Order: sequence, then structure tokens, then C-alpha cells
Amino acid sequence: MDQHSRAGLLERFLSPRPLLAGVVFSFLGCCIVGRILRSQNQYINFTRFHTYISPQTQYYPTASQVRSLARATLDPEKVAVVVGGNSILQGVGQRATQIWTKRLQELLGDDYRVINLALAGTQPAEFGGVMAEVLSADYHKLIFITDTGSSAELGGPDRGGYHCFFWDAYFKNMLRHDPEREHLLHELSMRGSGKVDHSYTELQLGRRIDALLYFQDLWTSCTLRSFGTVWVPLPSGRFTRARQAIADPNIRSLKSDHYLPAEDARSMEIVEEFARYREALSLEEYRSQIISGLKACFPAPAQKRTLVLVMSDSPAFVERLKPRLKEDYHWAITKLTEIGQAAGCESLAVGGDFAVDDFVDRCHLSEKGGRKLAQLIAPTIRGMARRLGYLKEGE
Amino acid sequence: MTMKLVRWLLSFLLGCIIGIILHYTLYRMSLPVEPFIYMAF
Repeated sequence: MDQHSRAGLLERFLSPRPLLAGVVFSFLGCCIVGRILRSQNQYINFTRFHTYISPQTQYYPTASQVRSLARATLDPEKVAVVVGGNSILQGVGQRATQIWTKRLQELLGDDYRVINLALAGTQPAEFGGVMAEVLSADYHKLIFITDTGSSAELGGPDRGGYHCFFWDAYFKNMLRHDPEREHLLHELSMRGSGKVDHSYTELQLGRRIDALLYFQDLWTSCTLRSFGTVWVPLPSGRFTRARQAIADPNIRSLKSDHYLPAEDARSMEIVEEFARYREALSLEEYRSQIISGLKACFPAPAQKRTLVLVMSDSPAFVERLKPRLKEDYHWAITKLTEIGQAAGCESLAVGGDFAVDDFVDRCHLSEKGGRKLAQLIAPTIRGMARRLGYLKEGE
Repeated sequence: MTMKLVRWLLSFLLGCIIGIILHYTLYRMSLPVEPFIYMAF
């Protein structure tokens, strides 16, 4: 009896055709809105992808959104300087107002436009590297800056924590076809086991579907501008708060956060580990593996416009190494610089002569260190721009 | 007639909600499950 009356109630208030029409209408509507949003710049007063607008807090910017942001910032008539890399180049340790990329923009002048697309924890070719390739279709005068060292291994095109971003751009046809990279990606999908890795296949499938239905574009825009739907610990305590409304936390920019004693032992371990990296780097086979990985990350046209900064750690740790290890440490830095050059990129060792107060911890630069970095690389960028024919003589 | 229109509207609105939830579910399913390594600095 109950079942009968319940069925009667549903029949009385609902009818299948409009219900289905509603599902189709709203689903397609969401897809269309996502598609429209992907070509609009969503970011206001953008300086960098700080903690609350980055994957650290479950916010995954899409390749199309970042492209729209870059289009709003860069000028096709000027040299586009795209800064990628990890938290060091992102400017952790520096306030957004004093960030090193602003100083770099001042030093380079009006013929250049600098954009900071670095993200914490990325490998050299991830995120910013992917975006540099995407943007090179629109901006023919482009220089890409990335970093490596004890904090970021030179990896392949799709090895780090941000590989979803690579596949996002890949399935949206934003990346150029490169046979060497395709081959490496195929090998990676097998993960050396000879069998297909299902989690990897699932990730690719998700991005392939997203390229048709734009759910990432819609819901990340919503998280950025209107309300969040994924629980994460945010400063206000309300995870629903629009990310755009949360200020850049300026991580580690306070003096009291510099060189935290609790991190001392771990930092020292990392520096020692990097010095021991000499062993692997001494092997010719390992070096050629890294070089071919780098070449796959940066296909031929991208190599000569890429500047790889090999970042040294703070002397507060390097100087504490035993003499033999210290020698190995410097050797590894030099070798990595040579590897970058062998892969066809411009490569520069940075930070070896920096002081303790140029850093805020083992690897992140202070505002003073950031200014030094900008000063140091500005002439290299100008030289690259001239060599690549981006600027006329005398400019 | 009014009852028919209300029924149509109600069904359509419910369908719209289901469509949005479906789209949102796809987004949630595509978010990486593993927590990000740099969560705490």
C-alpha cells in the first residue's frame, strides 16, 4: 500500500520527459559555461600562484585558464619572460610586493613582460614549462626560466605531481606534436613493467573527457571567484570562501620564520644527499638519460629559449659539509649546469656566492636574495633575447 | 492545466539539479586523491 502511494506521489509530481530534458539542459549548460570561462582571464591582480590558488590547497588551475591569464598579462610585441620552476622561483620567502620577478621586470624594462608561473614542488619542465610551450604558439618572442638543484630533479615531461596539468594541455591540443616526447610518454605509461598502469590511464581518461565537457574549467573558476566546494584548511576557517578573496600568505617572509631550528637536521640531510648525487652524475649512462629526458621536455625549438638555473643551497648548510662532500656538492652543481647546456638549453649556476641572509631556509631566497637573483640573470635574458633575434641591435 | 505545468516545471528543475550534480561529480572525480606533498611548509 505504502509503495503504491509513494509511486503515486512521484507520478503526480514528476514526469520523465521534462526531468530528462532538465538533466540534458543543465549538463550541457554547465559545459557551455565552462567553455566560455576557459577563454576569460579569471585572475585579478595576479602576482603568483600562491598557496590558496595552487594544488597545495586542492585548487588545480587549468591550462586554458593559465593561457587566458598570460594573454591578459603578456604583449605579443614584447619579449615574454615566462618564469616556471618550483617554490624557489615562485618567491617563497618574499612578500608578493617585493617578489624577485617584479625586480626582474624593472631591470629588463618595457621591452619585456615577465609572468611568474612557478609552483611549489614542480620539476623543471612541469606547469610553467608546459605553459611556455602552449604560449609559444601566440608569443613568438618567448624566454622560459626554470630551476633545478637539490630541490628539483631534472625529470621527464610527465613525472612529477603536476602531470594532470600536462595531460590537460595535451588533450586540449595545446601542445605541439613531438615524436620523441610521444615515445617517452608511451614508455612512462608502461612504467617499465611492460603492463599498462591503470591509475595513469584513468588520469588520462579524466583529462580526455574534460577536454570535451569542461568541468575543470567551470568548477575551478567557481572556486576562484564565487565559492569553494572542496574541504581544505583555509585561513578564515571557511572552505567555501572564494580563493580570489584570500590574500597571498607571503610564506616565510617574516624574519621569525627564517631558518627554523626544527628543519635544520632534515635540511642538512638534503644537502648531503645532493652532494652524494655526484656518484650518479658521474655515470655517463645516467647523464645521457637526463639529457634525453630534458630534450623530451623541451622539444628542439624550445631548448634555445630555455634558461635553466642550477640553484645552490644556503651557505648555512653547504659550509657545514665535510670538505670531501663540499667538493662533491660543487661538482654536482657544475655538472648539472653542463647537462642543461648539453640538452641545448642556456644554463646558469646561481647562488654559489650568495650569503646566509640571501636565503630564508635551505633553498628559498629572501627578498635580498631575490633582488640578487634578478640582477644576476637580467643580463643573461637580454643576451638570449638578442641571440634569438627578439630585439633589434641597440634595443 | 496548471497542475500539468507545475508538474512539468518541477520535473525540469529537478532534472537541472541532477545535471549540475553530474557535471560537478565529474570534476570531483578528476581531482587527485593523494594529498599534495607540499601542503605544510
